[in-house]
Amino acid sequence: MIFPQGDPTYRLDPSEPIPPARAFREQVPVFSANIPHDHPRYAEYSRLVGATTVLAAPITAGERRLGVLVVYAPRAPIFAEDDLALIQLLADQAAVILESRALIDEATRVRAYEEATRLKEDFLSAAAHDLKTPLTTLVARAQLIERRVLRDPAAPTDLASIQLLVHEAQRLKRLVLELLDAARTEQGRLVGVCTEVDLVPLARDICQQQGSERHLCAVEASEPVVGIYDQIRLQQLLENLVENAVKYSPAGGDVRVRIWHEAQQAHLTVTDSGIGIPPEDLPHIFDRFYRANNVDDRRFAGMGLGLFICRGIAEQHGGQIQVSSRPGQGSIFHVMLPLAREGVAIYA
Amino acid sequence: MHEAPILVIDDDQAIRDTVSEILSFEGYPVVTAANGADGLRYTEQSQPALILLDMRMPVMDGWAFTYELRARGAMPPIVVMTAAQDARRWAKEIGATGHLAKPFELHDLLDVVARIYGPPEGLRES
Repeated sequence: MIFPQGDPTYRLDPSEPIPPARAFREQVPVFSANIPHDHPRYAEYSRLVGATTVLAAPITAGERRLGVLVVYAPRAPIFAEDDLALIQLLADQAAVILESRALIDEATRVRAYEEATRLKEDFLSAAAHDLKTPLTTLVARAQLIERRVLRDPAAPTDLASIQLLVHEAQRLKRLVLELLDAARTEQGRLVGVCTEVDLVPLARDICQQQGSERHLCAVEASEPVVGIYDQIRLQQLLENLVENAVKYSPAGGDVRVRIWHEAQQAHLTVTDSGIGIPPEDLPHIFDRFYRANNVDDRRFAGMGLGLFICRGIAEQHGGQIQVSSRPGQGSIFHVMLPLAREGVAIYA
Repeated sequence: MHEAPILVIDDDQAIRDTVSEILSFEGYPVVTAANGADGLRYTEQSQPALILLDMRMPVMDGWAFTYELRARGAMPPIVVMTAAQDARRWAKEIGATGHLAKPFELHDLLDVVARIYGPPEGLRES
């Protein structure tokens, strides 16, 4: 085959006698004014595709043979042998472009790899740091209990220490589960089995659990809002948003969840009257390990993965999450998700 | 005799309480602070014999605490306690006497304290 007109499976065989193969093999521009005459073996094909005259020039970057530029016409004298110089010039230009493209691609690949490596290292060192904190108490406190018993076997059970161990072990468990979810978020593997889920009763349950005398939590919805979701992940998303809203609100600060549908989308907002988020932190609030500058770590424990996972849950359902906030006045988190469509079902 | 205590500064309450209880159980006098600023307030009234210092803390971190402490002319030995990988480097940065990388074992804590502070009161030769 000499003129593969868009055939993606075509591979040039450099041992063939025709101009493109010779140009590649001998690294010189080659001209044939009459293919059927010069290469009778290709006469049939030449007639079929209507190409009689061929110009071919090698595309070469230094020693590397990148390909061949082939131009053909139904008859002479659309091209003549004189055009070889021009076609070689074009082929040389193509070589420069291909070569710089390859360099840019390579540089991009290296940069992406370095960035991924750096992110992974940051992730690991931040994760290790956070895991070591409860672990320090677990190790040293357990050894203290042991030491007390060894010194005085008749001493009463140190219930407070044991309760501390239980508490810190649970803290460690939560951190490990959160880290695993963060890794799944990275890999786009957060969402599992999806079924029909009505957001309204889901939100009401969560509000009931999270609300207290200090913080009223109310759901406003006038009708069911149903989508095809991973129920466990949606629950996690809502819990996280409501928990944050409660955590960062002063006593008496109410939390409101509104749910409605509009323009083929499910909408859900969680509004609080809490400490709010400084404007400089807003663009990063869904980033991994990011915590706003006005968060007192001592009062509000957390790894900075909650909202990162929330965004993953929304996006991996084909939705999105946004935030608007004013420091001191509270925050509004807005989740948009696809609605269930009549007659459409997904069995994941 | 009233002995100068060991000052434990850590923002994590569970760690603070655990370190403090381990040391008290051995008979060491201990005081605690939840951040550098609280720790500094203590040193203005009374001189600790040794400071066990977490580095990353809200309000005032370990670096700022050390700087302020030195600016007031106080030079008690400091042992850095941190979960970060840079424990050794950070300890050198602030001119600490040693470091304890979290999670540390009870006997590592007691060993470091015994070497710097000495044995607890009850075990000393009178």
